[in-house]
Amino acid sequence: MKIRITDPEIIRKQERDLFEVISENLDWEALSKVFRARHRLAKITGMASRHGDFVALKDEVAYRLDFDVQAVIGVVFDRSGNYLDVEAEILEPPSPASAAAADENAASPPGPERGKTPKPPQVETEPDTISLDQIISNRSEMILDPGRRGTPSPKPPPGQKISKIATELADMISDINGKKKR
Amino acid sequence: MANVICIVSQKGGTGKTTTAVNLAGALALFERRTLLIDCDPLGNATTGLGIEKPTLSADLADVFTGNAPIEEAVVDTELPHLRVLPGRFSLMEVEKALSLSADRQRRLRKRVETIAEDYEYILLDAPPSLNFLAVSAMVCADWLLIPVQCQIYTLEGMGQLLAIAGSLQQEHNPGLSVAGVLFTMCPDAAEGQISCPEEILGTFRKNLFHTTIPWDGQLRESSDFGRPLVLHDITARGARAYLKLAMELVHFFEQEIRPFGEPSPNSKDSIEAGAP
Repeated sequence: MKIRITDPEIIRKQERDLFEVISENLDWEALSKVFRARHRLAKITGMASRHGDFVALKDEVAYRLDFDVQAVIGVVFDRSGNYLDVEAEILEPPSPASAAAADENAASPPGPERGKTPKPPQVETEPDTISLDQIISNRSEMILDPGRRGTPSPKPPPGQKISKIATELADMISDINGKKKR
Repeated sequence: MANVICIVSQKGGTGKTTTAVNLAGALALFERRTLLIDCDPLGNATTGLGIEKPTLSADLADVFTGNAPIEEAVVDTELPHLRVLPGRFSLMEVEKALSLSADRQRRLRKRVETIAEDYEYILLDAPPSLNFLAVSAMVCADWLLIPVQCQIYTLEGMGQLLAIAGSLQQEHNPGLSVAGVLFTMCPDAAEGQISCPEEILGTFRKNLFHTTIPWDGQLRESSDFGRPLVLHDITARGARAYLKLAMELVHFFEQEIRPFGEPSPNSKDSIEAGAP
């Protein structure tokens, strides 16, 4: 038997207001770091909350917020067509500590915990831009040489091999020149 | 404003310094105000232009570290239109000296920008590695000129250089692009042309300079005399080739006339065109 004891619209409105207030007071920078660490995204270009809800987590009330995230994700593959996890090189893979921290933050409600002082999510900081040393140490290893990565493929004839290299180099130059900003 | 061209290759012995010295000499013979910046601690480009390194009061290392203004470090050569910012062994210490400096990879660019109006062409001779000095030279440049020995197999490994160039463009120098690949030390049999089937080079061919540099022992000998070959013997094959290359660049940058009707550097299509 259902007996209505209050106006459901009031509940919905107050819930909406609550999530709006939470969203307005989010530390977007910290949140961006959580996403980057947890989902290994190299760069997030935009982020907005779209939906909020109450959930039960380990016998406690928690809040769940869904986000629309715009991220730049590149895919690189070698001459054999094998996927290369280059993003993991550009963005250092999360250490066990940072991954744990990210997990902990993701599971915790964004609002203050009961009986505890509110604190921002703790995630290992990462530089927003890649340093020169990273470029040299990481990218210098990024030679598109199938012998170095993945399953070795059968040796193609010399002409074919050079032709593939030439095509790849042409593509790389075209890519660089296409991105030139005057 | 000068066209700033970095002559770079991670491999040694490809003719970087020979190209830098002789191209600079050829541009100066065409009365283009040219500055050659020697970014290699060996300082061979400096010596190749007849500069006595021990007598220098300042060099590129001093410019990097701020010990001397760039105008004071630049020295004249015997060609009225050619000046050089000399490099020598002291460059080895620069990276260490700047290790704590923020934005150190853009430091050379900032210094060069202050004098760029004085020149039409600024060439940077990068060292044969992908170290701090080479990266600084690439961050300083608008264009990369990549010399490789006239063997198609030498294309292997260029991907490393291009990957780094792409990263530098993204992070530090959005105006960077690849002018083209220059085949050097071409054997007589090739007659200055690449004897390589079209189907092998494919789309890469458009990135090659039309000029190729033949093998010419005089190119090496002239550096012993501290002069570019274009001054030592302008009739030599190597000298003629570098004059032709200089003319190709002048056409590309100034007259916007490209051989075989290819697009000019400022046209939209030139993005794909690559080599002048």
